[in-house]
Amino acid sequence: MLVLTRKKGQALMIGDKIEITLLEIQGDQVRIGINAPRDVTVLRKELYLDISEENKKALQTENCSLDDLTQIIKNSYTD
Amino acid sequence: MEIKTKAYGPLTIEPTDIITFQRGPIGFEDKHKFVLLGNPEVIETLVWLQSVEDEELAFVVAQPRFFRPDYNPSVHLDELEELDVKDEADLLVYSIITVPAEVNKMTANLRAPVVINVKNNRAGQIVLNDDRYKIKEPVFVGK
Repeated sequence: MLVLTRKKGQALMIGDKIEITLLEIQGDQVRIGINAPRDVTVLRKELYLDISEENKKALQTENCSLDDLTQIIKNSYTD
Repeated sequence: MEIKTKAYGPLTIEPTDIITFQRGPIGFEDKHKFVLLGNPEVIETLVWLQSVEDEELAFVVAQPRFFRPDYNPSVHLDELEELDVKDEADLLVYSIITVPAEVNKMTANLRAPVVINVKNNRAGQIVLNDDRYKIKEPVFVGK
């Protein structure tokens, strides 16, 4: 991992389109500003990991009948 | 072409049925080709999003309007550059459904929908910048 030391207000570039600025430092919290093209996905890592984990869980759906599940959902909304 | 599917065993599909993810679903970024199995033209139904490359990689998905008629996340077309969307009406939105052993605890991932451009069959799993939508949203409310 590349490690850089930056001060508040300083920035760094990743490639020529992504700019990361250190906005504020308070105790163990750091506020970061990101300028990136819109097609670059910026996510908190926890969220990425949570979604990845959920996708894996979704795969564990055993061979269920989609028709049955569909019917269960329909019934629950027409009750 | 013939593919192996988790739910239905070997199946013959048309190459034009294939949906291409430039970057695969989150956690499965190296899987690019999928098909929808079931009745995807019916909104009120669950369908399989089955990988063409990996038999075991199959998600149960549903259009969230089926069980959340008010689901209307704002997605900017320029965030979907990879999908080359010309018109929002060309977008099909699916939520991945997690079905636990206890079926009535089924949840839908409303935060990270799979979006498909029906005009070119390009797809992606996007992450909404909106905390109101949960990764584990119960499909059954108050049940």
